[in-house]
Amino acid sequence: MPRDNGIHQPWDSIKHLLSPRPAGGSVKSKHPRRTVLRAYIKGALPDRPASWTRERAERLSNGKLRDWTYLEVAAHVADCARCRARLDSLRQAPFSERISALERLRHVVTQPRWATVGWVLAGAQAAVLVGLVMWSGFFANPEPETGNSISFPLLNGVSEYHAFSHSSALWVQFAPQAPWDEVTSWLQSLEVEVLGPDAAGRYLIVGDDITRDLVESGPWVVHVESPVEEGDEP
Amino acid sequence: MSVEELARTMLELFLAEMVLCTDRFEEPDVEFWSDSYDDTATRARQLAHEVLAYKAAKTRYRQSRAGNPRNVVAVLLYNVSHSAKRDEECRALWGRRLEEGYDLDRVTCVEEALDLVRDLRGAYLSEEMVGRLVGRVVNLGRISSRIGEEYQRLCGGEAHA
Repeated sequence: MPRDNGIHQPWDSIKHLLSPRPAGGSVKSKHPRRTVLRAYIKGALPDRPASWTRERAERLSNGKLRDWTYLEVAAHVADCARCRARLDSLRQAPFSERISALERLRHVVTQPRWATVGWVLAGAQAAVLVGLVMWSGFFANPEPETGNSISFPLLNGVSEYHAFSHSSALWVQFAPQAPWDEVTSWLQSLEVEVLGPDAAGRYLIVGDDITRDLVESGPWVVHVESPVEEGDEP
Repeated sequence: MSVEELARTMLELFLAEMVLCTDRFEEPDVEFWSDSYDDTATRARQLAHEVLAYKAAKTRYRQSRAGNPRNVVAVLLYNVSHSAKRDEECRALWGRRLEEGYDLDRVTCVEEALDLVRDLRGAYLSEEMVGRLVGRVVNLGRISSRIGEEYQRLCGGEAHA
């Protein structure tokens, strides 16, 4: 019945194509990479190359192809038991193993639940960053206008009264380019009490008469004045 | 592997694509690999026309409200099963499979479709068995004549050109 009712037409050439083939000849020297197989499963490969050439067909048949397309991977897998097993294993693997790290990250970020977590984490990170900047003193303790001075306890009424009661107290102004680590070391060696700077950038140094002489002749000192003039009441 | 063997695999793959109804191949693909398979121009052209006739018929049925591309797949599978020397063992195996409920819905990727094409050779499925495989009753003779029309159109188109 089947052969006489015309079902086989047109089929002669395809029938010849499907006739049993000799064994062997399926060995290939190179196989598509795992990333290529992943893309093949996802349907992300282009269907075919820009153009078929005899040279490309020979490269494919010799296992020397690098830029695989869908049809080429399918043809390779059709006769390569090793790649077929790799493909089956990739298909059976959990979703997380089937996709690359970058794709996994992209997948996680696009999930609504994980996207929310991501935004919360990003917000927390931003808050910590702002806190760190503020803690470092960038906003809380701005530098004076000179930009290179050091700070001592600020002046207040009690310390000013205490300082002015000493005839040896001095207002001192240092050179703007003074190396402040050396100035600090020098003041420490004098064993004096230092307050300031005030709004004008002056430091109040409280010591004794010997200290006064030393300070007046000290390095980087550009101006010295006494808060208590000679003959004034303390 | 030679280019000719590769071409043969590629052409089998086109049949598998049609079985799967994905049809991820075009006319230039079929023409190139037919030429690579058979260096006689006339035979290569005939082979390409035969393959493309099935695809054209499927496209025609896909665009028609009443038709179903699986009708063409049924003819394709019927012809595949009659493409080698009759193998009674193979036929009995397929009989058992179909009794157990095997159908085309279990074929989910092109490798499985290719396995089906290769396994069916020599099974000599009956029209009823093919109907069970594709999950519908198909008048194979009528569909086959439509495929024949597409084949004639392809040959005629070339003659006009």
